[in-house]
Amino acid sequence: MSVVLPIPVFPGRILAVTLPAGPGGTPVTVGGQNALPLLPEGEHPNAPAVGMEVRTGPQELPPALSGAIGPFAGDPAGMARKCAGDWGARFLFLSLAGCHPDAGGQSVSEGAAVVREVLSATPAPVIVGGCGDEEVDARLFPAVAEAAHRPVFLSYAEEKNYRLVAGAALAYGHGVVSWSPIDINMAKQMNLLLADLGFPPDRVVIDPLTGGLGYGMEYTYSIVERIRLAGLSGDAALARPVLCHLGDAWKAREATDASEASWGDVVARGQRWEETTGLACLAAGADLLVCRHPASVARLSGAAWR
Amino acid sequence: MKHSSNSSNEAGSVRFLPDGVDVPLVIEESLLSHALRGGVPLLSPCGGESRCGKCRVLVDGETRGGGDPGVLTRAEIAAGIRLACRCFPSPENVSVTILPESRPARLAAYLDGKDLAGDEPFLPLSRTASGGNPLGVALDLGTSTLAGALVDLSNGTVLSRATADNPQMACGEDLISRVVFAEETPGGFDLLRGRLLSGADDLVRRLLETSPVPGEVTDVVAAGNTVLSHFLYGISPSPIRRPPYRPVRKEYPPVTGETLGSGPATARAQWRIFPSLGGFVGGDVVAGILASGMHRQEEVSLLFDVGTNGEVVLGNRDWRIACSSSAGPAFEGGEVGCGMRAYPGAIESVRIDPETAAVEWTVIGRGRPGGLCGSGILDLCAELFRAGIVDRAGRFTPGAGAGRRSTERGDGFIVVPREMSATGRDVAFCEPDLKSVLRTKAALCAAAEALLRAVGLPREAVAHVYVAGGFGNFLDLRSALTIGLFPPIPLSRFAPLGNASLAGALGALRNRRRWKEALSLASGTLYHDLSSDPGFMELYQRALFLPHTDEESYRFVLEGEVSR
Repeated sequence: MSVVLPIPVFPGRILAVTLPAGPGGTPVTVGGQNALPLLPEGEHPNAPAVGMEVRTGPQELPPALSGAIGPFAGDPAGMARKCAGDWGARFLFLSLAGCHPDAGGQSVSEGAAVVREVLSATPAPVIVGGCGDEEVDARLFPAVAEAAHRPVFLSYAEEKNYRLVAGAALAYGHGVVSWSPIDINMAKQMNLLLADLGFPPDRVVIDPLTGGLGYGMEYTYSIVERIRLAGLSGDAALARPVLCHLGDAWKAREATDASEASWGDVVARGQRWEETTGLACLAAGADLLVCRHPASVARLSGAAWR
Repeated sequence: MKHSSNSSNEAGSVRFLPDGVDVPLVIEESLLSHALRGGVPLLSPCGGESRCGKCRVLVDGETRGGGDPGVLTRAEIAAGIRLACRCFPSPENVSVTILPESRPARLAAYLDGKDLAGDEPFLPLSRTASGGNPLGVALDLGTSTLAGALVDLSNGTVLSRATADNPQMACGEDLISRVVFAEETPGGFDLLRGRLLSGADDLVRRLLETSPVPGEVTDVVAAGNTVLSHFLYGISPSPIRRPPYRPVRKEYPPVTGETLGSGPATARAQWRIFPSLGGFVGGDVVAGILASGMHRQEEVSLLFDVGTNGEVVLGNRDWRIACSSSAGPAFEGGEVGCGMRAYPGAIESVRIDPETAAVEWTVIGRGRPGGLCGSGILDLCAELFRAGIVDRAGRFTPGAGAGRRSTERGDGFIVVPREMSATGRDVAFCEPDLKSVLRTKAALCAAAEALLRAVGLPREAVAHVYVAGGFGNFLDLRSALTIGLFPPIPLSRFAPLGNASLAGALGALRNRRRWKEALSLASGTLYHDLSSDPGFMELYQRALFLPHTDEESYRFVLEGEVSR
């Protein structure tokens, strides 16, 4: 007697979203699946994509990163080329941290110029992140939206600023990253607010805020999993690809502290810390991963089967 | 309750207008304390902690303090307007006029309640009067309002009804401030207890004065929340505000008015106080269950008591579960800048033209509007949302159309311009007000969802929704569901109850079986503590949106009529 295995069939399907590329580049399409990750059932037309962060402004790199990306400090365009070329990043997350008043305070127009520079340096899809200062970002996003000569995604729109960010994105044909602080309901609320503005759903990805390993990763895991289950169960506002930015893994002392000899080699440890965080996000259902260490791109891409 | 104080060796006094009451001057006491001491009615929702800015008075004479620039405008300060809680008299005669908006008024808006439990044989508690007709008094002791009805116990007729402000209001608008006041002010407990008793006495006196039939009060049935029941019974409510938030007692054995310390009119009467369910679900809710009749039906009902606190009960004849949500007083006019109670001059309903943003409103009584009461606030929020002036997150959308103004309290909407208002100030609804309403409605809706989840029932299982509370009689259900005050349940299943607490107390007065029922309800109703419910915060966050994060269900219930 043969046993028929129950195969869960979900009524919903995750909306496919494309991060557009420049001429000669490869766009990144994620989403489109109707099943949970890492399971044999259902359709998984698009594998998760791994990208890399390119950051402006002065930064103090932990030991594991300084060897790998240290030489590119102050050269975002060069770094972008390297990421998309040798390191295999399928997209770039350009963080304009340098515009923050505490991080050098580049002007908004300087920030916008960096965006143009990076967009010209590589045809890879680009997500542009703000500097995190509310007042500066309010000027930065419109400037970036105008300066970008090909479609990008703006990161991020949250409850406080969504009109501004989404408005700028709408005006110039960009997409947005819809951000919420590890809360499934707020994630949905953000998408409903964007929908009320008439923002096209296929130009939105969800950033649920990613905690690093040991620093809230399990919360993120649970929320990403629930977002995915809700989306597959038919909640259209949550049936969107999820982006996990692994930068928080590099804030863990365990990933950066060289003074604890018993913890092992800080370079391997840091890289492993980011990788482990990323693997958990993939298992939870993330579609887009942003990492900072070049070695993570290959490792996570290899794990990103559907 | 005369507050014995006053080592006043200063000459002079503070004269309160328009009542013309002189209070001996104590230089280190605020004007608010003087008003309290002299029994002058003055609104002080925060209990004198200078948080609410509502104890506005006009001073004539030398004073110190109370001219807070953040709360009062420069012009107001120049005109002599001060906050009574922060203003101190100088050692000379000072005259203080209590501004209209700071005076508690009176109106019978909180009186009517429905008793849906049906007609029953008249079977009163007791009817032996030593002289005259036996009379019974039903009392609803509300946080903000006291209401009462006088019943002829020989035939069950209601002879008169009356309502008054709870005189404890001056010591804090919400219950917790009052418990704190009782703990931290010397003589505070006695003061609060005395105020409650004198408020009840005044009410009974007015009931008797307006009654067409003379007689002697033999029975009093009082329904009040747990804190007020404790005050009335003379026991400290302090444990209610500390973990594990349990009351000292839940049942209050009947006592005579004399023992309780009530006035002569009820001194010989037997006082029965409705039992409490828990620290924040009191006898008023038990009386509400009684009036709704939900405890006799096989079908499952939800009961909302929307007052200064929000309480929710779910259940049927076999089981009931009740909880209190930290709903806050937004629909009683608290925590809302332009909020007021349902008195004359309060806007009770609002419509906004989505095209022109022109506002239409109706006012209780005649005259100019001074603010908005609960139903008006509810309507206003629903209309602002429908007109697209407010987004789903409870923020004003950018734009400068009619009525929009940027105030010192954030973006706002002018409901009534100052030229047309009773106070000479704009009646403006600002972003913090909106957020306060959003929190209140989210807490109430989430409380109901938490009860459903606790017993594992879907919303569809709810056959009736009873809405009790003064505001329940007047609220527009469509507005309520537009902003998601209640879970998405078809409008046809809703029934307003009005003052169900008073109706329940009346029922118990007219039929002693009902009183027994009330006693059994208390032990047969489970108290669900939301603060220890791990799922509540998530339900709250879900509801912290207009109308709700589950907007599809609301759209479905409202059949597309108000969807955007």
